[in-house]
Amino acid sequence: MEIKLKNVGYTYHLNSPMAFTALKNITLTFPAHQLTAIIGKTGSGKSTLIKLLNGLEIPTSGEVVIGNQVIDKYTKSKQLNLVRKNVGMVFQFSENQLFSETVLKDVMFGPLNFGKSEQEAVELAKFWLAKVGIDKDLFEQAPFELSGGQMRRVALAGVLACEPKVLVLDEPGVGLDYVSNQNLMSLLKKLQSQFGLTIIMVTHSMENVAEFADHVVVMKNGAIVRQTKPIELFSTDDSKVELPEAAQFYLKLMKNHQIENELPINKTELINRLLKQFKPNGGTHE
Amino acid sequence: MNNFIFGQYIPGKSLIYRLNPRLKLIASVLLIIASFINHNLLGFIILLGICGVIIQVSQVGWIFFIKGTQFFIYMIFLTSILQILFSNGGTIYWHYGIFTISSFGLQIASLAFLRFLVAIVILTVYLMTTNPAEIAQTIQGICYPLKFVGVNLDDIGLVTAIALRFMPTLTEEVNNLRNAQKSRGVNFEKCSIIKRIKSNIAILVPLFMSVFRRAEQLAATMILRGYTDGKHRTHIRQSNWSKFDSLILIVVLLIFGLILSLNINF
Ligand SMILES: Nc1ncnc2c1ncn2[C@@H]1O[C@H](COP(=O)(O)OP(=O)(O)OP(=O)(O)O)[C@@H](O)[C@H]1O
Ligand SMILES: [Mg+2]
Repeated sequence: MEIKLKNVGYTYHLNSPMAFTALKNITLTFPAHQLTAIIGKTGSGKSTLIKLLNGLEIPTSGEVVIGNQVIDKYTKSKQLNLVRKNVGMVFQFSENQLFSETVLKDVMFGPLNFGKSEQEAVELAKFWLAKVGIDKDLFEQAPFELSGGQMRRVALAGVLACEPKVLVLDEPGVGLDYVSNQNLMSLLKKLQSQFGLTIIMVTHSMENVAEFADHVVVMKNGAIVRQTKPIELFSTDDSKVELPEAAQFYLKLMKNHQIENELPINKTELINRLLKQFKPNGGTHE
Repeated sequence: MNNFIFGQYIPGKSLIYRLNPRLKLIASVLLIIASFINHNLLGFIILLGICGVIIQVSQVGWIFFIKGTQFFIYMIFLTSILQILFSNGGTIYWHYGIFTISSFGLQIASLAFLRFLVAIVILTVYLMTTNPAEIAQTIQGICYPLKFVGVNLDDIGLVTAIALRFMPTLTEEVNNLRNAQKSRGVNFEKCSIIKRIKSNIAILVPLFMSVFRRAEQLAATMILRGYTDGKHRTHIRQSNWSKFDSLILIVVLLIFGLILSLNINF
């Protein structure tokens, strides 16, 4: 399912002394079945933007088109339930939202709210818990007894069990160790290809963008400054974004060595490039 | 949507901001007491008029103010409706099963509604226009007599300051949790009572977890930064009392006297 923003503006506490315009005239498309990453400095409006994608906030100007439903400032809150069913949202530190007595019940909460029967909800919960890699033994435990990383998976399963067509995540990897982050990202990639999910993800990790995203949107001061593919964004150094570590490393090498000047954007590419350029015999100079 | 603002300080420059914080507290308390002893329609007209003037003068903006307090106003409205339906006495206008609408019920409910309305408006303006540090200092000052029964005033000041400091943080946390559960299909606006209670559990449980977590962290960082209790601390702000403050105090006392006299039966 595709999401389109047309001239969207958003002001917090409109008509008050605290009024603050967090988004200015944004026009943007999140293509269906793709993984789009949103990057930008802290305070640039990323979290505000994604809250518009499932009707948690209503744009103060312009319109958000989700599939074939239009949300603008005249939209009534009754009409938003369908949008929320279609667009699942996983918040930052999502482990903090768990509340039920057992892991299984917590995951069933969403499906039950969206009108599934008890039986269907159990099936969905079990299915998605398995998909995110939670062991059967943990189903009847209290969610607070799990580790932080496990709790986050349960929270993710809780959203996936609502069977959304679009999944929106706010910094899903923050605070996870390298391996857990890598696992989480490949899980998202798998969901994207297996179930045709459209994924939109806010992240501060350029490595995640370079390795996993199909599209990248760069935000600055509440506006979109670039909207492109990760390769385009990172392969030259003239852009003002921070580069992934692989590219930074390569850039340092370029200072002292006569090597190709297109930057590799992830580790695999970097290794291949180095193998090609620094052959033990022949190749470029040592 | 997420415009729940109770207890939040909103920096500004209007007249009310410049009043002495102690005066503001005394005046607020006097007006609230006046509204609670009042039984008189004219008295409420006067008090609501004053509320209107205060909101206008504070320059926080009417729409913003109404949005911010509508939750509380809605709550006291609901309570009043229950009171009307369940109390009995005087002339009975309508009766069905356990429900009755009587003149007695109507009277009690409208009194309670108006009193709480005045109290909420005044408290909200006080919290919106007074710097939390000044509130803490004022409370500490008012609790001065407690010193003689062995209460540590600095502790009271600190506890007030921390409580006020965490108001906006908690409001934000509530909004985040609401958003998270809304995304899982909770409809807070329209559902049955049972469902509504259940949806609030989905917010309250994680909220309490996070409050305890924060309290623990705060205590740890305070200890790490060398906080010990029992030491006297000085204040970074000193407030002074101007002639204008005295004038306002006189006006408020006059209003208080007026309301009082309206309610004395000769
Ligand atoms: N509830 C709110 N009320 C008023 N202003 C807000 C509110 N939430 C966010 N803002 C402001 O809107 C701007 C954008 O905030 P937002 O949370 O969208 O940034 P972000 O890009 O997600 O930042 P980060 O990377 O730190 O998460 C910030 O300047 C912030 O101060
Ligand atoms: Mg954010």
